[in-house]
Amino acid sequence: MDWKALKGRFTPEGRGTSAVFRMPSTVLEIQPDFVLAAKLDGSARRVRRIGARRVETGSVTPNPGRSNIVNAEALRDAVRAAMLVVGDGGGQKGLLLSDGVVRAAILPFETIPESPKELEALVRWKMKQHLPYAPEEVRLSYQTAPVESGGFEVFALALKDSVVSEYDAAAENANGGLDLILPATAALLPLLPTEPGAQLLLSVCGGWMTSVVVCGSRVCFWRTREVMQASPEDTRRLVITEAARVMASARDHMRLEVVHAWFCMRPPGSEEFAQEIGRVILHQVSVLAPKADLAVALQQQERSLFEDLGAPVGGLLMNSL
Amino acid sequence: MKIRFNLANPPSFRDRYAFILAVPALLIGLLVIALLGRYASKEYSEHAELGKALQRLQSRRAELADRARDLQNALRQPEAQGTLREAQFVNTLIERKRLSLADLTLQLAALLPTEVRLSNLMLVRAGNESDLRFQVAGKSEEALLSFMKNLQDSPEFADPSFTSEGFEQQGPGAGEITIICQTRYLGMRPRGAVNKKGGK
Repeated sequence: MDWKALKGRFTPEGRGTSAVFRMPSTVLEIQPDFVLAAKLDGSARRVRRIGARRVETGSVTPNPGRSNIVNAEALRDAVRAAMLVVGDGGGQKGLLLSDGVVRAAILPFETIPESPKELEALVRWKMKQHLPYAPEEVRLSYQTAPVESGGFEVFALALKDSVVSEYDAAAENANGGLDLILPATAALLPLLPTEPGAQLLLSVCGGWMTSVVVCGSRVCFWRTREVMQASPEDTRRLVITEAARVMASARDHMRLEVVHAWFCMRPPGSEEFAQEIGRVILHQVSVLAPKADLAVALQQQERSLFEDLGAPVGGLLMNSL
Repeated sequence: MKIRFNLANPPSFRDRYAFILAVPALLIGLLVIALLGRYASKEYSEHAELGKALQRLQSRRAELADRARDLQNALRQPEAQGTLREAQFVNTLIERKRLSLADLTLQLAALLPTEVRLSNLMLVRAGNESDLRFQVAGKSEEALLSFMKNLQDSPEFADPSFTSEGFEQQGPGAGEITIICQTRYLGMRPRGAVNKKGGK
């Protein structure tokens, strides 16, 4: 019998303080311009109910270090209205947040310690240079992957505790009953097909754009920029510029040849916009959408809502496979 | 691509294992309760059995006590007194187990004053009784009277009688007064075991 493994399993400290992915039965997404709630059936991989409400402009201003909720009452009303559609049947709850509230970093390591606790301490220490606040104030989650050239890369996400508390209170889970918290773009990653080459994901939502380069099962690049501008045309221009920069960076600095580029914009943009990005980055860009069979249990109105805003929810269901 | 990260707080030990551990804990608890119940039931049954046995013993004791009381009442009847005495004597003899002439002589000698000597001794067994006939010779009348008093006071002897008296005029015992005594020998017995005046 492996007593060490058994001890590690039954000792909370033995597993470190980072949580692992857990499939929620109810998920709530809070973005600066909308709130989305969905009831999921993880075993059947189905969305059972979905509802969304607009959030008054300026009520939520995503920021990794400062207070995010400007109009708590308006946000709470939107959350209640969205949750009313799907109902609260108990079970595990998940929260998806704007990418603008998290800090992400790719940390290279020659070797990594076997102990999860030691690894977390090491990752936390290395994340310090990427955080504008004390690393003790953040929740950390990371995923390690070996690099073909040797060594390891750790993709780490950090979220400040005080920011979580704000969203937690808005979601009326002040008892800390959330079982899953992720930035929305992280929930899109399971929608990417398993391909040997590098894939580029461009995610635009709520005035923030996140560009991710994935090599196999490893996140090689993650960058989040605020792209909200005064006019939609300026925003589009900024998105295209950012996409071009990421593509150039992947090619020139990381020496990666992107084989597939994906674009996900919520609320959805036009097909022409994706083609326009493709023309600039000199690569065909496909719109990333969840599989239709995830929404077979939904009525037509909810199904179109799922197609427009539910890509991260679909990603969570795909990750449960 | 499969993701494993999660920025939520990790579940506590209780969150993770409360339900998993609750079922075996419940089963163990039920098992312990069942065992305790079985043990208590067994103890209760044994207690009840012992109570019944004790009650039986107590009623048997009461019954025997009644029988003993009845027998004692029967023995106190005049027609049973003789039997009682005989039984007591037999019991005494059984206690004594043997009649030793040496012991008898020693007991008798212990009653003799210095000026009195035992000149002969005869033991006659008549049924369950032992009659003793002996002759003593004393140099003075006072010594003989002292012996007679000792004999009367002795618990080993009962119903003494002095049947004859003589005076030796010649021989080694010249000048001595002789008397013949007859008494019942009761043997060695605890003090107060038999009332001397009541017979045996």
